[in-house]
Parts: sequence; structure tokens; C-alpha cells
Amino acid sequence: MAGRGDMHETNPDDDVQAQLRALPPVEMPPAIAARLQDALRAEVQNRRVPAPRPAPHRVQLRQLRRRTKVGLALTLLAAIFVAGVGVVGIINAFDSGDEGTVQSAKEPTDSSVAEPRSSQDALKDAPQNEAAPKESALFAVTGVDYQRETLNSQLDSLLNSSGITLNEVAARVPAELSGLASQPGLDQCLAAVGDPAPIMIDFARYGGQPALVLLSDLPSGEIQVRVTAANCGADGPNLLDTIVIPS
Amino acid sequence: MHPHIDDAGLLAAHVNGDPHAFGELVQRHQNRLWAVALRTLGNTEDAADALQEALISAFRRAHTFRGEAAVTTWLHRIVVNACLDRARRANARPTVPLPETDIATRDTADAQDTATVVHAALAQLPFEQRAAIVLVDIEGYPVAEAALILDTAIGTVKSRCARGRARLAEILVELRGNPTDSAGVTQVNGDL
Repeated sequence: MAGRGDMHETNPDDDVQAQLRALPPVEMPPAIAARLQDALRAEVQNRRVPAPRPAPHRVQLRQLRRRTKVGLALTLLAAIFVAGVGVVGIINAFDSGDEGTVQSAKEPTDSSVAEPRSSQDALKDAPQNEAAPKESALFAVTGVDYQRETLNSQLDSLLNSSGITLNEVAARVPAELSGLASQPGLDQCLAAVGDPAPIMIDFARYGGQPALVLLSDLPSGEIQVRVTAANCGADGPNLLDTIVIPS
Repeated sequence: MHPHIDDAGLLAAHVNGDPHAFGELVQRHQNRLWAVALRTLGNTEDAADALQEALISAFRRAHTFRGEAAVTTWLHRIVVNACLDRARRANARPTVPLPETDIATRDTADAQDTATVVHAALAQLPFEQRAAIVLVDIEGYPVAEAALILDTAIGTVKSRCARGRARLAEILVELRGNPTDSAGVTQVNGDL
């Protein structure tokens, strides 16, 4: 096998070319032609079958959206509840004359004893703040190495994941993607991509390299998957791929 | 039937729900697609499976066609990729020459023998070289179109063809020098 073909590289064997060109034409046997047409007819039938029905991923995305809305609502309620309890606690402390309790309530702001925090203030500090601009986004660190050819099936694991907070992402994300696991870094990337509110964000890999996978649902019912490199940010989205999955 | 609609129009009609458009598109090009599949895989069964797989994939992915290349180029690319996948999965190059019944051979026995030997030699090339030679030298595609089909550079196609031809010349000498080997390709397949 050594040196095979090298000596002929710039001088192709004309005789071989002549023999190749002289090969008789090939025609598809009728049985195979019929088999192919049958297979295509079956595809046409399958295509017609049900009335338009959301694709599984579409259903999953809707469920995700519902889940994130419920999660956000619960977070807001919890924050309001915490704020309310804080106010009641302070009032009770004053009412009971319990210096210790009053002191502890005063501790955060020594100079503003009688200034209870409003529920608006409490909301600012509530856990949902960590993902504020992406209030409808779920985060994941699947570690999946997505490939264009198999993306559709690979998305199943992402869509079936329950989602974590951005703070949890920061604790799990590989070093190459750590810049995107902070709120400012993520904000810059999403702004560069032009999609401020994807439904799902996966800190994963694409074609072997670290990547951010953003899922959005389009008004047409399709799912748009944008994949950015780890250096997505103020300098640009550095998109690795954009794929639209039909509904 | 849509005899006056070009390939892109047929594909668009398919995407828009015409149930006959894609089948018609396939009928237009089935012989050339079949030739590529058969000659790159080397046996009827694998070629038929690969072609069916490729055409169903094209049927389902038609909406992704962006019109950046000709429809036939797009179809050929899908077919070649399906053949490559199948060749890799099987991890085998054909172990027998193309059956003579698959080929519309000339009348003379000599021509038939020549075709059998050339196909046997072709079957021993690495897939990439074989695919380039099938497209350019046998099916007569311009190198630039073959490059699009193979999703590679024009220079790469030329290089694959040149290397493939050189290797074919060696194999043909071997096969013709020892006629019994022309029917026993398995003996040399292990080398690849």
C-alpha cells in the first residue's frame, strides 16, 4: 500500500479513465423502483394521517413554559409572603416590647429601625432575581454533545429535564462556559443573539466544543435552536448553528 | 404529472403538500441516483436500502432545502451520505463484484468481463475515492458539482480521483494478471 498512487497523482492514468467511462449505464431494476415508490407512498400516507397535531417537542415546550410560569408565580408569592412575615414580625416585636426581637429585626439597618421593607423591596432580593431578565427560561447543564444530525432526538433529554436556576448552573458548568453562567455574561450573550427570552438554555457542547444551546418557540409553531460558542458575548453571538425544528 | 415544472418547483410543491410531487421528482432522477448508490456500495441490496433511506430522509427534510444548489445535487448529497453511513455501519466494502444482471451490459462477453473486473477493482478503493470516481469518471459530473455533492473542496475531489485512478490501475493489473482473483475479490478486500 506504500506510496499508492502518489507517482500517478499529477498524471492520471488515461487508460483507467477510459475504462471507467466505458462502463455500461446502470438502470434501476423495476422491482426496486416499485419498492421506492411504495415507500414514498407510505410516507405520503403517514404525512396525511392526523390533523395537525403539535409535535412532541412542541408539547414539551408548552409544558416547559407552563412550568416556568407556575414556578415564577410561586416564587413571587413566596417573596411576598416572606416580606409580609417580616413586616408582621417587626410590628409584633414593637407591640410585645421584646427588645431582643426588635434588635434582631433592626440588625440589617441600624439607622432605620422603623422603616419596614416593602414587598417591592423584598421582591428585589427574592431568589427569582438571579434570573430576572430570563423569567421564562429554564436552565440546564446536560453536558450533552449535540450534533446537527441527531439534534432532534438529543433534545429529548433537555426537554425532559426539570431545569435549574442560574446559580445552580454556575456551580455545575464547565470552566469554558463559566462566563455565560453569570447574569451579566448571559445577558450580553442573549442580547448579541437577539433573543432575550429563550425558553430553555442548556450549557452543553456542540460538535465537540463547549456551547450554549438556546431553545425558543417561534410564532409559526416551530422550535428554533440557536447554538453559540463559549465566547458569545458583547463582541458577538458567535453562533455555531441555527436550526429550526418543524412543528 | 407535472412535466413542465422544474425540480425546484416539484420540491416546493411537495413541501406545500402535493402528494405526487416528490415521487415524480424521484422518478426523474432515479437511474442516476441508483447508479451512484449501486456503484459506491457495490451490491444491490445495500444500494436499495441506502437509496430508500436517503429518499425518505429527503422527503421529510424537503423543507430544509434552501435552493443554494440544484435539487439533484442536494438529492445526490443525501444519497452519498446514506451510502457512506451504510458503508461505515457495515464496516465493509463489497465482497463480490456487482452482479452482472444489475448492469445493462453490452452484448459482447469481453465488455461484460471488462465491466466486472473494473467494478471489482473499484470495490477495493476507500469509499471517498470510490465516490469521487463514480461521480466524476463514471457518471460524468463536473468536478465542481461532485465537490458539492461530496461536501468537500474541488481540489480534494481531484486528488481523490487521481489517487483512486492510480490505485485502480494497480488493482486492474493484479486482477487481470491473475484472472481467478477477479471473482474472488474477498482476497484483496482485507487490505482495505
